[in-house]
Amino acid sequence: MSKWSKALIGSIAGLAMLVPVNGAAFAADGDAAADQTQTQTTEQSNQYFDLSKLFDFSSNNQDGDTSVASIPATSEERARLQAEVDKDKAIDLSKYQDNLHKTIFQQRLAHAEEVLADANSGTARVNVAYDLLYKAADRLDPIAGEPSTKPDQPGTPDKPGHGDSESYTYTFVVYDPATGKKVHEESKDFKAGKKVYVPFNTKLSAPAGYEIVGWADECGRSYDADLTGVFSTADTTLVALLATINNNGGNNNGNGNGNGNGNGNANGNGNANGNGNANGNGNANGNGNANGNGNGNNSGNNNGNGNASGNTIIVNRDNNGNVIIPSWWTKNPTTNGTNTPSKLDKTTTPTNGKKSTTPSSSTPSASEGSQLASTGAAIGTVVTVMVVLAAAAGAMFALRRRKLADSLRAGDEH
Amino acid sequence: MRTAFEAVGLRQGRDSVAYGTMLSHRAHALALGLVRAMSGDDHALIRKDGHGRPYVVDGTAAPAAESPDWSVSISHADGLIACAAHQGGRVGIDVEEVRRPTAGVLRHCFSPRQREELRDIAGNDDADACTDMIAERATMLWTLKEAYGKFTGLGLADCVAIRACEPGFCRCRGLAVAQTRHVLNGRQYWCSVVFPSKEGERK
Repeated sequence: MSKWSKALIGSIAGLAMLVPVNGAAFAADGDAAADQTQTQTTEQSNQYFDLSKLFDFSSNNQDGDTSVASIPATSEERARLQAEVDKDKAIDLSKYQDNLHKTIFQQRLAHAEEVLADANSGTARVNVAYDLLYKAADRLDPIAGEPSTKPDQPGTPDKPGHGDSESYTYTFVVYDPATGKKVHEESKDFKAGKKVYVPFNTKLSAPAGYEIVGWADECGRSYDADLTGVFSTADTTLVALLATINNNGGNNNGNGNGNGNGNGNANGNGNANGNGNANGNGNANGNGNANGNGNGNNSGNNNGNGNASGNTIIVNRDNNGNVIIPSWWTKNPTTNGTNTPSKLDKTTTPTNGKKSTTPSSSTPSASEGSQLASTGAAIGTVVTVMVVLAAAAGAMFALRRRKLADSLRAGDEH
Repeated sequence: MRTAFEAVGLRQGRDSVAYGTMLSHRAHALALGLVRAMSGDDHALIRKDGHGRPYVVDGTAAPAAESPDWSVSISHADGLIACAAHQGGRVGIDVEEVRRPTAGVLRHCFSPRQREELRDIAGNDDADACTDMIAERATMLWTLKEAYGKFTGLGLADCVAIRACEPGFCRCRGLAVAQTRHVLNGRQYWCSVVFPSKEGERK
């Protein structure tokens, strides 16, 4: 065997060994990336409070992945709530007006007692119950002429209406949970006693993939995203509570009855039960449909507060991203009636009379990663074969030239 | 006139441009679906003119021209997309999340009487209630002004009309106003639609 033949065989063997290595590298990268993403998401989702348990939100409307890291209430916090309950129980409610404030007060007092009775109540739950209770007690309206029997609220810090002379600085901070670094910080002054709100027209926003679901102050109190019930009382730093945005890919089950009062709701999780429509805007006709394929990003509830005019609808999308507009809703007669194919739209052939309204967008998944890897391996094989053939042809050509040269030097006639 | 809304669970993160682009694409698809469903023309298209105003192109007409029958308007806020389609006249829609207007918006786009009205609300003793009421009232008016700007096609350029715009102002011009309040995913929105009223068309 000549040295050219040895070189040829060696090159073929070397290239053949490279192909499976490349293919395996593709697959390994794809799988590793998918695993890493999954792990990271799980870890991040475990870092945050589940506000649904703090504020009694309906658990149906929350993402299931936000688990709770409940911190037990301290004895001081429980004692403070107990003292507030005891004081409020001593109030003679007959001397106060029977209005909404009184009803709310009674409800919150009962709620506070429930919280105290529950030995597992967390710190946030106890503090929120305390906040709600003493604010409700503050807002009781005494009957005209009746002296208030309400015990004094020592230093009611959140009572609105303190003088306007003072103002306090509220600092809003957002940390990136992935890096732990501060990404946004903004301060705003609020006059004493005024309602505190999240500044708008600012750059305060959640990092990509997260949403702000609440705020927490230095004392461990948690508030909802809109800072409901927070009044300016002292310089405070509020840290954003973040939750991952999860695509529930779920079904919007409409259980409204289309009764024209706008009470239908569309829960992001659940089953399409075939009754009612998924929009809460009240349509006069009750034969709605349940769109089982919900918007993949819709993690909340669609509460309808429409004007019951029947002219509005909240739409959903199917799994391909196409807008679903129920036919019963569009009662207007067609303008041309013939549905003649457009001369302008020559690129698509209508199927079943409908055409996709949006390009279906998809996120690369792990299975697509493995497909990509196998495709890469196939391309690599083809290229290798071509290279080997070219090398073989070149080697044969060179070998032939060498033989000719040797024979010419030997004096052979050709 | 029909309006369609779509809730968007995804909230704006750092990349506001990408978020806006995503909302625009979804709004375009929603408007297209709405127009096709209402008109029965499965080949109707939506184009935008030089000012960004969307208009309906009749799928059966050649060459491409704005549909004389149907008009469409698109708006989106953080978390909500709204589209309106109307047969027989222009339509303008705007949707905004409830919030207090900035001082600049108040000064340039609200009439003195409207500002006075908001100041009266601010004089209320209950700080909590007055803050909410100001935001609600101002957002309601602001969406109406923007919707009127979209209806006329001039946007906010017609300062005098925009300042004066309120429901009565529109009714005097033969326009119908539909205003709705929505609570979606825990957020509050106001939506206003301006379109020619039937009485106005008869006149």
